[in-house]
Amino acid sequence: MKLTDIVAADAVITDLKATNKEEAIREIVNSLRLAGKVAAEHTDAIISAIMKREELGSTGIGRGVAVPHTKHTSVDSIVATVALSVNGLDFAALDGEDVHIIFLLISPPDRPGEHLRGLETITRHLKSDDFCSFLRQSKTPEQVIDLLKEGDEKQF
Amino acid sequence: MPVATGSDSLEMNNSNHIPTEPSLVRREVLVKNANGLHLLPCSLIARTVKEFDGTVKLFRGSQSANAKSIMDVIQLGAVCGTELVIEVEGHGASELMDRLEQLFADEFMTDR
Repeated sequence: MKLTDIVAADAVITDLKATNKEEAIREIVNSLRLAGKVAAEHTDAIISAIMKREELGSTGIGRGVAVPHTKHTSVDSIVATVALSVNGLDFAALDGEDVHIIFLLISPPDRPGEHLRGLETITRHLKSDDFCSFLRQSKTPEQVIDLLKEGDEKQF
Repeated sequence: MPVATGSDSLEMNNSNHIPTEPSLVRREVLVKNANGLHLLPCSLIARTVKEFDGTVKLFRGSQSANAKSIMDVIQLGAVCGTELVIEVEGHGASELMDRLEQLFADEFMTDR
């Protein structure tokens, strides 16, 4: 699985307006809706499901990265996108750091293997300081996608 | 030097004769929860070992992960049915190992 296979380029956000977790999730899911990746009638349910998942434990996984996610019957393959917050958001991450990079993921239910591969794919390159640093410096969605392509093509 | 026989235990003493608590403990665990080691179980593992003043590693075959790093553990790609080896080294290793083993046995509580 490649990052560019699952990340919806048209929904990438490089300047999140949100100032908290819920606003951020709402902004990102709405961006997926505008990109045609999420149906309008399912948007609210998906936002609620992602917030419910956050209540079980933060998806802030350290290094300024969060991976909010849910499973939803309206998608038949993984839908994901990237959003960057310049000022950072409090996700109650394990390492206490504010989150600047958000990979939001919606997976089809009953395919746990695919969800796991999606998480693996996303985290594979985020372990690299360079990759995280370059991602945070991206100013346009095109720069983000170029970086993801680079990540797909070689190891950081 | 006598070698312990007849025991499946992989626990090792750092002293030859004085019965001290082992500082290196290694045990096999099975991923039993249907969704495998997705983010929530990985996060629970990392939170459990966060304050431990030693090293905790998970092995899947030759691939190893630092249990304090959620990203590292996700990279193991451990689906349901995967066998892992946990290795804990440091003061209080046995106690921490028991807690980790329980997490796997309980299928990470929220993920049955």
